[in-house]
Amino acid sequence: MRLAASIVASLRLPSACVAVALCAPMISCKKGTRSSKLSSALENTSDLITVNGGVVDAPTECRNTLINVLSNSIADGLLANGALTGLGTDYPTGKKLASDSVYFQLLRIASVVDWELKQAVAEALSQGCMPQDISVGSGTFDQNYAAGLPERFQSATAALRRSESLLPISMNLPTIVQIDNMEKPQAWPSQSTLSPAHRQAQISGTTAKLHYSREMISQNQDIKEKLRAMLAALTPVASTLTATIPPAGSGDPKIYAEFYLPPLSEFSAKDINDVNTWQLSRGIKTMALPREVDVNVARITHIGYLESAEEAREPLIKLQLFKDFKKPDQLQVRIIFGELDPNGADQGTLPLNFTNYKNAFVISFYPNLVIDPDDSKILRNLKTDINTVANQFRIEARIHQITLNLIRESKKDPTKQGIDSVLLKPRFAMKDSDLSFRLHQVSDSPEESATLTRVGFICAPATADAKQSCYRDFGAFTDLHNYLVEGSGKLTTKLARRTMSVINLLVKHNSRFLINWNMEAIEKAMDTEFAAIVSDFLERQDERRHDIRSRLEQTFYTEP
Amino acid sequence: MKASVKRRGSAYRFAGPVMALSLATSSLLTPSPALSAPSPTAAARSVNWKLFFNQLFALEIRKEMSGQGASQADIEAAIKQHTGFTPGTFNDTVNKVLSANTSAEAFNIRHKIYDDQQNYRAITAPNFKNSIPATTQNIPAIKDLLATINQNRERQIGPEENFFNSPEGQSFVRGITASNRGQGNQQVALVLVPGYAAHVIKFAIFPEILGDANQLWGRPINRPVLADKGLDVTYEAHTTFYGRGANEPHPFDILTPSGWELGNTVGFNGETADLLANWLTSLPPSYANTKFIFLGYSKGAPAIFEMLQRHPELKSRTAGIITFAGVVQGTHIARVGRKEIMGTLGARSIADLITKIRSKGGTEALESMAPFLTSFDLSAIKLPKVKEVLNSYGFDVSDLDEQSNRILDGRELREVVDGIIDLEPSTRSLWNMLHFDRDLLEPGTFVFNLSGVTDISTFASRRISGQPLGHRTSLLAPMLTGDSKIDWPHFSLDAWFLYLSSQGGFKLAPGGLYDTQVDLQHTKTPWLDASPLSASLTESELQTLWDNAEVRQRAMARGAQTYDDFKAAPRSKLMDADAANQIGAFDLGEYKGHHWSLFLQAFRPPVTTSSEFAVWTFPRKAMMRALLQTFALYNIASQY
Repeated sequence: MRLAASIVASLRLPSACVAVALCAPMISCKKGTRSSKLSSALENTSDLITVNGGVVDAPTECRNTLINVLSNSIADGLLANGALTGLGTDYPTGKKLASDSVYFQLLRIASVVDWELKQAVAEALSQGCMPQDISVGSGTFDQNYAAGLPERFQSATAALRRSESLLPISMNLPTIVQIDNMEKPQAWPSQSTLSPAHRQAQISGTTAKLHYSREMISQNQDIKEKLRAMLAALTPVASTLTATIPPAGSGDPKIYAEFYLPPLSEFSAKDINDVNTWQLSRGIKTMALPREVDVNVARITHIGYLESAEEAREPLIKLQLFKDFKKPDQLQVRIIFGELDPNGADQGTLPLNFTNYKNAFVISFYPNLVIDPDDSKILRNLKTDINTVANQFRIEARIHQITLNLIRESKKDPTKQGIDSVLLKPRFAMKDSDLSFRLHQVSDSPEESATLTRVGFICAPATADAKQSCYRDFGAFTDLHNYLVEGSGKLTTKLARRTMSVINLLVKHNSRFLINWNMEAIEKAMDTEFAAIVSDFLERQDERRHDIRSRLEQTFYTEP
Repeated sequence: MKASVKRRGSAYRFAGPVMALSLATSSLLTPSPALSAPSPTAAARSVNWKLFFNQLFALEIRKEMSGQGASQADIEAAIKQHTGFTPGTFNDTVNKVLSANTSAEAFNIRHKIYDDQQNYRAITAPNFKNSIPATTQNIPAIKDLLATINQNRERQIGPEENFFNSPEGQSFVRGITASNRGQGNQQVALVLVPGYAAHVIKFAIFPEILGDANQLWGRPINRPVLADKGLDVTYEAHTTFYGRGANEPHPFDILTPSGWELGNTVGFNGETADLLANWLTSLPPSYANTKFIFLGYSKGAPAIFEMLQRHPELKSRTAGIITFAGVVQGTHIARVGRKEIMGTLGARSIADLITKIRSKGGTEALESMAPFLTSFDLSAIKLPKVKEVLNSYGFDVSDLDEQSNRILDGRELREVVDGIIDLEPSTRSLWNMLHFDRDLLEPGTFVFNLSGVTDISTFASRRISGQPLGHRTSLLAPMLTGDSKIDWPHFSLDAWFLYLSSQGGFKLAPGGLYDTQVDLQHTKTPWLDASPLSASLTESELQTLWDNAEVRQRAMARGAQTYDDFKAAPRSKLMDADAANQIGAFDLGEYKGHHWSLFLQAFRPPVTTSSEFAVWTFPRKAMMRALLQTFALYNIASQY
């Protein structure tokens, strides 16, 4: 038993590992195995953990305090969530309780960590010291660049590397190196402050890694490597944590974190027991939500992502978090759906092009007015009429980047009011988001199609009958508005007149939806319904991760 | 009066009044029928045992913390942190929690039930009028016992105090050894029977009270280790250990088997049961007439019941049983564990698989066995190449290869499925249907149940757990000291193990009421369980049980004429609930803690790494003092 204890200890011990696990790419493909024969893509890359001088040069005691604060906050977040979820959810012979969705659990963990960090940092600063300028990053880099960086904390790295072979999942444990600059903690860094050489090396390394991962997923010669790559496709490829923590009384700490995640993907298998048939496809085929979601002015029916993902592109999702301790009950979050592109509009650590609609996250909705029980009979009838007509128009909102402010009611104390009292609640900030739209129309005749084509629609045969499916993309919501309302002179056909009629009705009765860029109603509704939109999908992703991990472990353990 | 332990020669002896007690009892060592009165008497049945025990538990926590200089607020916090008294039955608790629709609702309902301020007031009442009726309190021997308790309510207990030298300890011994309404006397021993994988755990359960008893009778605090080969530890023979001072009568003692004395404790209960019977009968002659109270911890609980069924001659020597987080009715996680293993094995046996992978050599072969150990106590051995890793952290790994071979060649791995089968609800239900009746124990013998309920957030820092006396930092987070060493007293390996290994179990347990290893519902005897068997067994398991001719015969004799009756009937009725009135079957309720609260810490860093380790902050000794005094009250009450 002491043996067992020792092993448990060794696995969980390294605090440095706990701290960097915040941002380290936990799963990666393993170089130097027989599968490297399949690809040389990874040969010239290095996985690195980068730390700045503020971390390296800080007194050991201060650095340890930082590690303690981070690891304790994360452990508290996990435990708080663990206590409230998964209770009796699989009771095999009686009532199964519903568990919180993965989305909600992530929100809870983030909320607790956010709440706990503030207390812990204040306590640490009052009792001792912490490094003031902190930057810890992780990612894959060009090997030549990596070789020129000074290695730090060699003993910790050596210990971690020795433990690599112990783990059933290859960690491909990285080298810890020092870099001279750091991202500025703010919302949001528009231009990376890392050196061009550093960024170029990371772009190169990340690209190679993503290529290799895709190659491994599609082959069946090396099953272990295939499973590893599948798991890697569900874990961050790069991350950064930067913070400024002024001494007590001389300012508010600021923390910024960003994670670059591989694209969301879908799992399929002809035979679940045969790993050779397992496939992981990038993107989500447009899927119906388990239940349609009413967000006050629209009926959201489907979500989708990357339906036309060409192999040449490298889609990535960037998750950014910013915490200013001046606002202890607010955590800002931004998600960007883009692709790796040196010339992309987002020039973060890894540059992303997020303007291409093909990379966006798609929410399909029908304009729809919710009929309240309190509505008068006349209003109810009117709304019904509008909805009947409006339901012919499917609009796809394409989310390029979306901003959420997570807000907590202030002065909450989980020790008295329960863990969920510190929960952060999402508030959508549409004005800081970037959405484009696709308006779908079905035309009944070639004439209508021709008219639509003249005003920018693209039409294609829809079904076996004469109908055609037409769509037109709009760069932003205002474009859609201008097109539909102000540019009405272009719409002269019967179909166009019908469209106008509906739009005008919608405008009249819910001007906030289509006329103004004031999205209070939809924001409010989205605040409460966001979970319903994404939960099911996240659940599936999580289940898949579990399936793959289990199978990978099983393969490791039992295959000859 | 300040109690003391006085050293005389090489042995410890009672001082003062305790010595007098020793002398007084020395001439009265003939077997006594007192503890096996015809059935629980009216007096015994009149006591609200759950309330009484919890009152004592709260009181003992108060006295212990006062002795440590704690404030009133801290004392109140500690009582709330560890006690879980509810006036209703455990079925009521399970049903209330199951009224939730979501996991988070269940968590909140559970807290409302166990943190009810009224319950706190009930257990901290300054007297026992709500737990013991006046007529029972007026029984002279009970009056004496309660008087001592009440007179010492404000006494502060120092950390070094030996319970058996305290006024309450002496009063307890008088109470537990009394027989024939005070006309006779008897010798009693509490036998701590540990649970799953006990033979490889080197640390005793309830070490504080066990140490008191060992010290009292002149034995070393811990059983001396003669040879330590990792998983195989040779202890001084129990005959030698308990033979110390055997020429003196031991009115009350606490005994526990160690190492391989109970065999392969991850295998079948039957082996443990037979070895336990043999262990008891081979104790030194001075214990020949000793009555036993068994504390069955975890898998130790069913092992005790099986022992009494297989060795009925021991029934007359059994004064009572307390199951402590006992796997009395199985646990859902065992069913899942067996399916996982069988799924991986396919048509092979474990022995076939071991033979096949044996050629890989020690640690690598061990890696291949991981799926068999995932959900269980030995799961941590699944990882290969441990040597390199442990080396990198400065652990002594010189015997690691030997350990790997030992695990592969040992019985534990080959018999792991046997043990898991024995822990399944279907196996336990079958056994209980066949044996849980009035013949299992002699009339009047008591059977108490005590169970844990875990809130895993108590492993977090007090800022999250909400416990004012909770941990300063999370037990899962390895804190670094200024010189970059692990702060071992604040980093719990047990917490990691329990957190990781219990996640599946919490999901499977009804309402998530779980102690990190066993479902609350299954820790109680079926005599007390009003829920139908369908709450524990799948449809096919129920059908298999019904198809067993003997089971069906017994069920029909108890009123279940059809399969539907069988499925729907309260299991207490199916298993001779009337026996509970003949045998003293009572529930002592739940405590807030976990399955390993009774250890200081089961997983510890090697002493070469650190001599310090995190200690579970659970009032183990206060709980044992409360339990012992509860046993004493039962012994007296059962004579009137």
